[in-house]
Amino acid sequence: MSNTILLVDDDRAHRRLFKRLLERSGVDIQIVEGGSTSEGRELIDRHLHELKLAVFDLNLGDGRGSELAKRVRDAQGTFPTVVLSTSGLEFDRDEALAAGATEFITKSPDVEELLRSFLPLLRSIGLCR
Amino acid sequence: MMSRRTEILSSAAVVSAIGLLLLPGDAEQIRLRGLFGCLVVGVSVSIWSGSRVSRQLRPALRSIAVVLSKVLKRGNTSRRLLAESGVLGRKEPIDAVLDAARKVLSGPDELLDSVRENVTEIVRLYELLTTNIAASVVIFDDKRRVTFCSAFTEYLTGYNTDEILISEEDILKQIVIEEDRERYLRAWNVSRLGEDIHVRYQITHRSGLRLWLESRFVPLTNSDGEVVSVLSVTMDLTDTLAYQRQIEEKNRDLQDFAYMISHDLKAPIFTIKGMANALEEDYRDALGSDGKELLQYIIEGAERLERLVHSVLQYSRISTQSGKELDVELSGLLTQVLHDYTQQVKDAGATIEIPEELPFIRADPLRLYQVFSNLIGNAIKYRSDKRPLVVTLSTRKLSAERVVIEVADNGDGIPIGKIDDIFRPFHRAHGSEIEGSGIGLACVKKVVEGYGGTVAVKSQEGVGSVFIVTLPTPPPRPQSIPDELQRAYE
Repeated sequence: MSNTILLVDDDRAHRRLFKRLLERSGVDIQIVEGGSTSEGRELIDRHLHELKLAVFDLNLGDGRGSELAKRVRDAQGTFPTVVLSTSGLEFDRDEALAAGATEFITKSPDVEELLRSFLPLLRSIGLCR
Repeated sequence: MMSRRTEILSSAAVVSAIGLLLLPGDAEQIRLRGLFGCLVVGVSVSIWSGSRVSRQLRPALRSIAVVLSKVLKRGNTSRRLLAESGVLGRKEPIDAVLDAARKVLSGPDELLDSVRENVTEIVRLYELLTTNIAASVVIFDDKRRVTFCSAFTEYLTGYNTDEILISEEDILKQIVIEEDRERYLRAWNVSRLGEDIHVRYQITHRSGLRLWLESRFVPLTNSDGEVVSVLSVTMDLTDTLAYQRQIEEKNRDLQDFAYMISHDLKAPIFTIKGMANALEEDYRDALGSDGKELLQYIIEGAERLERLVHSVLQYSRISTQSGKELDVELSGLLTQVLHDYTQQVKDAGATIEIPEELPFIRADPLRLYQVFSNLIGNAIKYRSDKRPLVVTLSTRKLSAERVVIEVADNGDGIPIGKIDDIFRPFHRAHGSEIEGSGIGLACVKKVVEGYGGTVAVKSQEGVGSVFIVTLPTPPPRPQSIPDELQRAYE
């Protein structure tokens, strides 16, 4: 079974950093990426049955990452979804979790802290040694 | 025990009978029959509470004066004469007035003179009061008929006072907008049961304008303590609420600004730090020691920016988000603050002295933590290198609901020219040799003032500083509301 992760973030640099972080998990993974909610919707529909994890930034130029988490839930996707935000504000968290996201993670500039936030989830789906 | 209000009312009731005799004149038709329904109280109130009613009552008073003089001359023909003057039925109040008048008239002349002087002075004072007060004063009898209506009511509603007094319609109820009418009447009923109450509602002014009003209903009682009428004092809140809306809008702008900072300023910091870390890890060898040093400057700069953004956000959140109000045990909170400073206290070799007995404070524990964490953190940060740091915390009661907390240190002190600005955001007493955002004490001030408290500082350079904070202590438990009132209001 493929280890495909969907990553949607409108900031190219952030995508690059998250790819790097996920690739450090020590497992072979494949990343499909998009930079907007419209691309995200398309990628969810296309890869729904092969995804192992989906990571969405909350503030996307053309919409909200929470909409994408909701789309996964409505399509009965069986994989976990993570919503990311730079703010870490309580109402951002509430928005993400209400939309059905499995996790809400703040984009901490401390890479180690960020990795620590991701590790339990990656382990639970066998994406980390 | 007779309440103050009842006392005033009863004295006014006696005075009213004299008042009738003081206003002789030609008989006129009595226009205010509704008011006449509770003559003793109504007339008393007219003299007790002001000009407009006095003027409106004057025809009635003159009329009764004539009746009274005839009654006193002719004996028991009173009933017919009263009927002729337009006063029908209502036997008891009329008799009460006549009795009071007879009593005074049979007394010595000096008494009458002194009472007359007093009455003139009372009337003058109340005329001044009700003419000049920017509030509508209305008195309702127990059936909600308006027995008195001050001049300002006309300005507030667009209906002239005669209309309000004479009309069979309950104009003051009719102008309340439909959504608020039930609440308005409930408040009136609660007052009718003997309780002071405030109610805020909207009316449609005669011109069609929508206005926000706030009424305070006060029950007026007789000597037996029974509520005989309700006094309402109504203010126009439209401008105040418009101003409040402006502030709320500004607050929303601030919230948007804080949200923008959270997202848009934090995102590039994430990029800079993330990329610098990636460079350091992936290109360590290629960078060499010079390259690594330059990279370190980038990371440190990004971290400073990160702390600044965090401080600005903290400051703006105090303005835009209301905190909880709980009874916080100060000793537990300070234990937590000191626990979090364990390492800094140890590194500084500092002694922190805290009294064993500390009060409870009425505030949000997180915000209170912010206050004391800032004050103790500053004492550590700006300590003197000439002597070991000693921080002393002391408290004293200012009143039943307020406590003073002083945090004193023997640190460097604040330069004299910088004391005035110390609580302003982004103003720092020290240069960049000691890192800080200039937000900490501004946050302390904002939190403390948010709870109606104050913060001040006394400082002497080279000797130390004392921060003096006043904060609210928990109020006494409110007494439960009687069931009858509770039900009436629900």
